[in-house]
Amino acid sequence: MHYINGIGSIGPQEFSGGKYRLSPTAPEFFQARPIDYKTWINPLVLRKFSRIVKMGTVAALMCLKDGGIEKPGAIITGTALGCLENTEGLLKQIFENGEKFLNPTLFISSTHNAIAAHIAIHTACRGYNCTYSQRAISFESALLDGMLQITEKKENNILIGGIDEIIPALLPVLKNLGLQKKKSSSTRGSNWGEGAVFINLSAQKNEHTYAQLAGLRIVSRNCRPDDIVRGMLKSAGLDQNKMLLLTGVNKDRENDKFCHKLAEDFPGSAHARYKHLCGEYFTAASFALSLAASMLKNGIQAESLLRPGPDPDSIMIYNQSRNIHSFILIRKAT
Amino acid sequence: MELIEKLKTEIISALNLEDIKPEDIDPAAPLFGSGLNLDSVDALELIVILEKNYGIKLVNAEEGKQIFYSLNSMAEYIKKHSSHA
Amino acid sequence: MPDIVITGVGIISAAGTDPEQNIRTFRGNKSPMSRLSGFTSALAEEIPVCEIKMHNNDIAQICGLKKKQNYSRTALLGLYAGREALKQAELSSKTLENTVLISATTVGGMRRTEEYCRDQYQKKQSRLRDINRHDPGDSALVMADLLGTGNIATTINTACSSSLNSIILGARMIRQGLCEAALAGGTDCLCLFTLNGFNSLMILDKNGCRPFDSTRQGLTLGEGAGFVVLESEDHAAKRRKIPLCRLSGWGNTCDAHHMTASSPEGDGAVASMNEALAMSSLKPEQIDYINAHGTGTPNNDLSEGRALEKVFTKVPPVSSTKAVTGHTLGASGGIETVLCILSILHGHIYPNLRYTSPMAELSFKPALSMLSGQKIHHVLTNSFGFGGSNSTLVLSAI
Repeated sequence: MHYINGIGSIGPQEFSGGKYRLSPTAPEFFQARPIDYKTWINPLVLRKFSRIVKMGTVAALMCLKDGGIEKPGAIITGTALGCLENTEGLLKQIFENGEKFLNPTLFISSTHNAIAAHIAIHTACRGYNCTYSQRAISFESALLDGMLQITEKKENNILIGGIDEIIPALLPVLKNLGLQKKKSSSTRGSNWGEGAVFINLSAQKNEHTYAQLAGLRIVSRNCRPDDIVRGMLKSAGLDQNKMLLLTGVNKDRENDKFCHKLAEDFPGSAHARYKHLCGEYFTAASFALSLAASMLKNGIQAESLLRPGPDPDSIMIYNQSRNIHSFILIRKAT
Repeated sequence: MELIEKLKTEIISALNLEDIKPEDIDPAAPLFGSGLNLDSVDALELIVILEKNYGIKLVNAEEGKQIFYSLNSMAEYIKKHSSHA
Repeated sequence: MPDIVITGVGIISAAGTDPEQNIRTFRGNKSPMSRLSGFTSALAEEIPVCEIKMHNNDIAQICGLKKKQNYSRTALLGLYAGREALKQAELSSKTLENTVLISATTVGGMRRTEEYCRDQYQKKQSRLRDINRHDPGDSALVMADLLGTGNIATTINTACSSSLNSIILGARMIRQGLCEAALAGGTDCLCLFTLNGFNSLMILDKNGCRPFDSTRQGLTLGEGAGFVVLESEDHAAKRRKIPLCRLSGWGNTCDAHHMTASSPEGDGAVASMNEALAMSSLKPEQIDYINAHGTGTPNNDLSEGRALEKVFTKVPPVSSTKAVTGHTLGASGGIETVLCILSILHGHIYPNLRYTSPMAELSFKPALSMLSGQKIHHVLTNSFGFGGSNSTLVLSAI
C-alpha cells in the first residue's frame, strides 16, 4: 500500500492547515506566493540558497511538519529545468567576464539535484536520494521511484517533490516555442507557472493520511487514454462513476482536446482542472496530486470543477505533453 | 582602516550576508570555524574577491587558509601583494 | 527476486569509439588528454581535456542519421552508445517495445545553450533551436525515438553518480515486472559551463588528473557515453542469449555532509559499498578488482581511499580509469560499468595513470600497469556525485 501522509506546497496557491485556500486568478504567468524562508532556515545557511533551492527545501520541511515527522526515509525530486537562476547567473558571468571571476556558489547550486541534496543535508537524511529531469514526467518519474521504494523495502516517509521555477529570461523563450501564450486570445500555448510541492509517501497509514496512491502509468506513445483509465480503475477495483477526473486543461487548444475527450469518455464522472490555479509547468502534476489528495480528505473544492459529479471515492489525474501521457490514480484511504 | 571597511562591504555582498552589518564583523576574529562560520566554498568566493578587486591570483585553494584567517590577515596580504589596493 | 544480467554494452569515450579501441588505449598506458578544440574557451590553453575528436555530424552519420541535424552532442553520444548496446543485445522487436530507456546526464543540451547565450551577449540573432534542447530530458527523448524503445524514457541527474543510478533503476524496474528489458546508462559532453564551473572550484589539474597520488590537484574533464542492456536471467535464457555478466548488487546512499565535499572519513561511500556487497551476498575478499570513482581531487581520493580501507581489510587491485577517459560526469558510471564488464570478460585490470607518489594517509597503491587474462569473477565500481550521492555496483561473471 502507498499512502500520502503529508503535503508541503509553495506556489501561487496557499496551502495551510492541510488544505488549499484556492484563489483562482488569470495572470499572464503564475508566480509563487512569497514565503518568509527565515522562519524555516537559519539565515546564515539560507544565504547560499538560490530561490528554487529555498522553495524546494522549505516545501519539503513543510511536508515533514505536516506529516508529523522530522527526518525523511528517502528524498526523490523531479525538476525539468532545474536551477535556472543560478544557471543563467553563471552563463552571464562566463560571457561578461571572459571566463574569469566566476562565483563558485553559482555552479555548485546549479545542478538539478541541488534541491534534493540540500534537503538531505538539512535533515541529516542519509537514505536514498535521487533526482529526475524528464520534462513533463519529471515528477511522475520521481513518484514511480518512490512507489518502487515502498514495494521493495516497505520504506516510510519518502519525500517526493516536483519543483520548477520561472526566471524573467524564460518567458520570451517559452513564447517563441509556443508554450506560453503570446496573446491572451491565442489558442496556442498556456500561462506558465512555478511551484515546489512535496508529498510524504509511506507504506503505513496514520492520522496524517490524506489518501492512498492506487496507480501510476506513464505512456510514451500514441495511446487510448480512456482504455488506460479503465484498466487502472479495474486493477484497483474502483468504479468509474465514483471517480473525479482532474485533467491538465491549460487553454492550449491541442492539449485541451485530449483532456476534454477523456472527460467525454467518462460522462458519469466529475471533471476538474488545476492549471488555472498553479499555471502550466513541467512538474505541475505535483500540485495536482497535492490538490487531489487534499480534496479527497477534505471535500471537493468548487474552484477546480469544470463539470460536477457524484462525491468521488477516487481521483484520476491526467496530463499529456507532446503525446507523452501520465495517469496518477488516488483513492480514499482504506 | 579604509581597506578593512571596504573588505567588510565586499564580503557581505559576495557571501550574501544580508543580515550582517559591517560593525558586526570583528576584524581580528577568525572568519572560519566560528564567528561568521564560513566554509570552503566561501573561501573560494574570497579568492574571487582577491582576484577581481585586487588583482591577486591564488594558484591553489590551500593558500587561502592563512590569508583568510581574519579580516586583518586578509588586509595585510592585500597590502603586500596587490598592484591596486 | 529475478537475477539481473547484462546482454549488451555500448561505449564511446576519448579512449575510443568501441570496446576494443578503449582497451587498446589503456594498454598503451597513455592518456588521450589534449587541448580543447571542439569549441572556443579562454581556458583551452591551460586546461587539458579528454575530448572525443569527432564532429557531431560525423557521430550522426555513423548512427545512420543525416550529417546535418539538430541534435545536441549529448544526445548523439548517447545514441551512439545506446545503439551499440542494443545491437549486441539483439532484443526482439516485441521486447524492444517493452524496453525502458533510463538515461543520465548533467550537461544535457548546455553546449547549444551556450551558443544561444553567446549570440545574445554579442547582440547577434540567437536561434531557438539552440535553446530548445537545453534540458536533460531531451537526449532521452531523442534516443527513445530513434532507437525504438517503447516503454518509459526518463533521465536521472544526480551529478557524477547519475548513470550508476540509471542502471540501478533499470534493474529495479525489471525486478518489479514493469518492463522486459532496460537500456540504461549515461551521456555527457564537454562544455564551457562545466569547464568554468569546476575551474571556479579550483579542482581542475592543469597537468592531468593523478588519482590517489599525494600531489593530486584535481580532475580532468572528459566526455562520452556508456550504456548497457539489462534483462532478467530467465528472459535471456528463454531467448538463448548468453549474458556478458550478472549485476549482483548495488548500493545508493547519501552523505548529507556538504554540497561538494564528501565526508572526510568516507561514511557515505562505506555505506554504499557495504549495501552493494550485502545485496550480492559477497564478502569483500571476493572482489577481484575495484574501479574507483578516483577523480583526482584532494577530497574525493582521500575520502574514497579511507572508505576502501574500511570496507576491505586487504584492498584488492584498484584503479581509477579517469586518468585515461577523463571525468565524464553524468556518463562516468555508464562508461566505467562497461569497462568493468570488459574486465570480467577478458580479465583486465586497468592502469591508474600518472601515479608516482603514494598518499601518506592510505596503505594501498593503485594498479599501475594494464593486466589481462586475470581471474576476475567479481568487480565493484563506485560513482560519487556532488550533493553527496554515493552509488556502487557489483558485477559478476556468469
